[in-house]
Amino acid sequence: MTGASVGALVAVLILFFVLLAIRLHVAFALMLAGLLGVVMLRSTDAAVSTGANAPFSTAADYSLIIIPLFIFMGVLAVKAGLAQAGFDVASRVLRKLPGGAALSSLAGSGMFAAVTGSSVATVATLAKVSTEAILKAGHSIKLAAGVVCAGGTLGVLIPPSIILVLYGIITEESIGRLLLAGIAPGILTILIYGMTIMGLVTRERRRTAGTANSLIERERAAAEEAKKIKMDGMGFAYLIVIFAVSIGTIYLGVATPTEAASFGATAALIILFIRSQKSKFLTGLKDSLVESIGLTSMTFLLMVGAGVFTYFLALSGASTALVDAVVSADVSPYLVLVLCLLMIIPLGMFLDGTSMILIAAPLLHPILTGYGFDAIWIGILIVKVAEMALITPPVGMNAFVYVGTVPQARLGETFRGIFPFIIADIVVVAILILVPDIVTFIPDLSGTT
Amino acid sequence: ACSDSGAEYTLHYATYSSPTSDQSKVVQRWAADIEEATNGEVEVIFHYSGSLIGAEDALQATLDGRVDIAQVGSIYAASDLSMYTVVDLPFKTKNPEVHMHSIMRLYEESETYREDFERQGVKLMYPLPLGSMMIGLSSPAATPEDLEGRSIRAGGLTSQVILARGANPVAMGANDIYESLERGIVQGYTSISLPNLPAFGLTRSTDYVVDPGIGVAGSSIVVINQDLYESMPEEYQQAIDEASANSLQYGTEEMDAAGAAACTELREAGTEFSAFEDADVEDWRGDLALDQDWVTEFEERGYDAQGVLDDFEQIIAEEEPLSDYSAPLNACMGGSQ
Amino acid sequence: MRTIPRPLVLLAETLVIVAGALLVFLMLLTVADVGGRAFADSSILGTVEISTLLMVAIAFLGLAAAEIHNRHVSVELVEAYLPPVVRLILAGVRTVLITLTGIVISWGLLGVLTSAFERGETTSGILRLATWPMKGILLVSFVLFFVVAIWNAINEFLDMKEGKVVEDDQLLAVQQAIDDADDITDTVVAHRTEEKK
Ligand code: NA
Ligand code: NA
Repeated sequence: MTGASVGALVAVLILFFVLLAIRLHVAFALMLAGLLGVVMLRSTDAAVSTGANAPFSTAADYSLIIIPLFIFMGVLAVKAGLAQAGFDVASRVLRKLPGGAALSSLAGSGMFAAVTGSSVATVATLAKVSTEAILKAGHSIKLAAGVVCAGGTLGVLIPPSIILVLYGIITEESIGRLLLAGIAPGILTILIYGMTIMGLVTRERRRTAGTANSLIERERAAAEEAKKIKMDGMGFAYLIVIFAVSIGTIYLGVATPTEAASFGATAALIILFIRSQKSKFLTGLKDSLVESIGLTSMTFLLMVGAGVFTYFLALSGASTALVDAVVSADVSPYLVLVLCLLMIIPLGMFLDGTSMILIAAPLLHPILTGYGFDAIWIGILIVKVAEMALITPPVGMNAFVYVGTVPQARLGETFRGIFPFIIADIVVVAILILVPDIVTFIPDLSGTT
Repeated sequence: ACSDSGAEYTLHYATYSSPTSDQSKVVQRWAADIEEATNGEVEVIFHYSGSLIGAEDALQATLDGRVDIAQVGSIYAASDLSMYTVVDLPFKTKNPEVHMHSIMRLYEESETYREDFERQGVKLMYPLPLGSMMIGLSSPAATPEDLEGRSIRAGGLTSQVILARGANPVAMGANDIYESLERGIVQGYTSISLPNLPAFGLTRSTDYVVDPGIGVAGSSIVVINQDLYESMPEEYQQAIDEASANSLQYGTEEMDAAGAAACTELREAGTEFSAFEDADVEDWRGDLALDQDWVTEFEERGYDAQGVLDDFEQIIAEEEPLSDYSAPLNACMGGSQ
Repeated sequence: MRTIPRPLVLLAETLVIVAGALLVFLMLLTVADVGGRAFADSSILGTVEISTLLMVAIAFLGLAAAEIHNRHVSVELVEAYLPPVVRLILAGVRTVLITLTGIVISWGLLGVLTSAFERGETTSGILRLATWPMKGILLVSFVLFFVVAIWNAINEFLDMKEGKVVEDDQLLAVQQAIDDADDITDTVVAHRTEEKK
């Protein structure tokens, strides 16, 4: 890096954080800061061209059609009531376990994650139903908040996942492999979260045992109640169909991720048609399209901003210099890995999941793959930690969405409720680092390359 | 890592090629020559694999100053360097060296051809190597007619060439060929030349390699922003010109090296080589009116396209006897006979 | 307070519907192409080229509507702790910056459109589709988006000036997520009651 580049980099970073702090759109903050850098390093003409060409060159890319298609598929699945179906089935099956209501909320999040690609959507969709069921079983709102916010992170890990798709596009790694690689870590996360829930509930049961307000009694009453829930077997079956069409075909190697997304969305559309009253189908379709297009344009505007920003970073030589600096520092690759992952957490204070990946992936991926770490494994670790950043205090998007959706929840108790799940996440990340095979065995088994 | 290089000119080069491709290696040698000749006062920063600018944007970006130097593929040049796309026309020559020299001679000798570059504000420095067109297939084809009904990855004019024999041209990035071939989404691929196969993992998965007789179709060139070039002191311009002149030689050398490696890998994998018969190729060529279409398309835009095409063919005819270079595809074919 | 003029809303919503229709078309085109290739040995010529161009419209036609629904992400971290006067100034700065960005980007996009039109720019595949219509859509989408964004910023500034400070921990993005959740929950609940009937 030349002196001019270093100066530009400092100016750009300062401007970026100032713009974020004054609550400018994240996309604009990225764009304006990046453009300032281009003006400093090249010329005003070059900066205007960069900004003006970014939207077309960002979107005119065939591999990106998977993003609106996955979004559309998830929205249709919600509209068709499949999230609720998954939740109901879990409530019936798990009702007798300690913390059955919380466990079914977690399982519901997991199942919903299998058809939707976004973390915030999972929280927003399941917050009310889950909280209601968990409170009814006698648990605190802290537990409900923890389960829902942490459960939301499954939306990104378990395929389909917009963020894993973006990661694949940015780093030019196989999208199919990345999507498949998320499955086992997603299941591991569910298991560890489940153990956390059972631990918390057992402690609470013991604490209240014998009192008038015993948790065991209240849970038992709730379990009786849950027996009456009418299971929506078809809805549950449809949930599996969509997952099979969109992910199963990738696993079996009969479709590319792009094709799988088209077929998955088509299947979801047909399912919505079957399940809606015919008079309401068109309205439902229209609402789903409006919702999907809104989410799509939000994602792409962020990508345009990030594109301008990373253009500047490449021009300044900062990315290359960072890689060189880290590699020449001659420290343990695993130390670098852990430091890189830790760097992601504070980003969650300023950015949503998509922006975090758009900024972190181009910087961290080349550093870590440079050490010979498996690229897919790195991708899953980075995405997993970026999702953690959405639930860590003081600012975490999932927690904010939860507080917004559930009126009686306070931010403080929400974060306290999340805390045990952050510990659980640290355990999950540690396991994934120690046993990389958990990430890679499913893509290795499949026909995907 | 933060060494202040202190070079007087730091030129940013944007390419869609990967750092290890034969094309990038040529530019690396070119840049090293210039840095040496100018005592490091002119240095080149590489941005590979479209990391700075996408392939379609490369020319415009050189013009408006987003980059200084860029690799421009002929397939993306129809709107801006229309006359340069004459080099896309198939069935002209099977000799890449002849093709590269023709690209440069047209620039020196054809006013119409050169005017496009001048209007775009870029200077053509040198062409990058591109081998003869091949077709990779998962089952054998003895004649062009055998391609009928097969889905084959193709781009540019080659799509129309195989369409004329009933194949389904499928557009996809080179990175996706391997996976698509393995899954049977396509049964073959073209619009790629032999030296580039290893980069995309294709030496292990191509059962049959056919020389379809299309020859060299398509090219890419390295251009520099004209104003920038002219603003440089004469000694630096000279250094650039000399290195550019040497780069055609670098091109054939790097292509040979990459081609030999690809050939070895293909032979180890047991790939079978064959070529379509000359008579079949002549028929095929006769059924196509690509030259005429090209001339018509650009005459409508006010170019003397026929004149440029005639010059191109004339130059090729003059260059053919001067070169004994054999494309890696031919060389690899020859080894099997 | 923050009502967006009716014609703007209508226009934005129309564009969303157009984008939605294109998304469904894109989905069916891909299915037909893959199906054709798998079962009939014939793919649809130029599917990739058409899809790639359509992506541009699908990606950006919804920008203005998303802005109307406050969907774009911004983060309030520092602002909550600042005195009202400073926040008012910041709202003013925001308005200026958004306007500035809007002018630069719109101006640039107009240049890109003009250039694509004059040069007769086409896609590089077999169909050689003209790119200017999509670049026109891009210009329309962004101009409309910036008009709405500037309108919102000015109104937020005016609201603050009149003392109607937005509640502290209510992020715009959160408000949007809450609305979504309500929508979604309504749909789900409506669906279940429908089934019980
Ligand atoms: Na998911
Ligand atoms: Na956080």
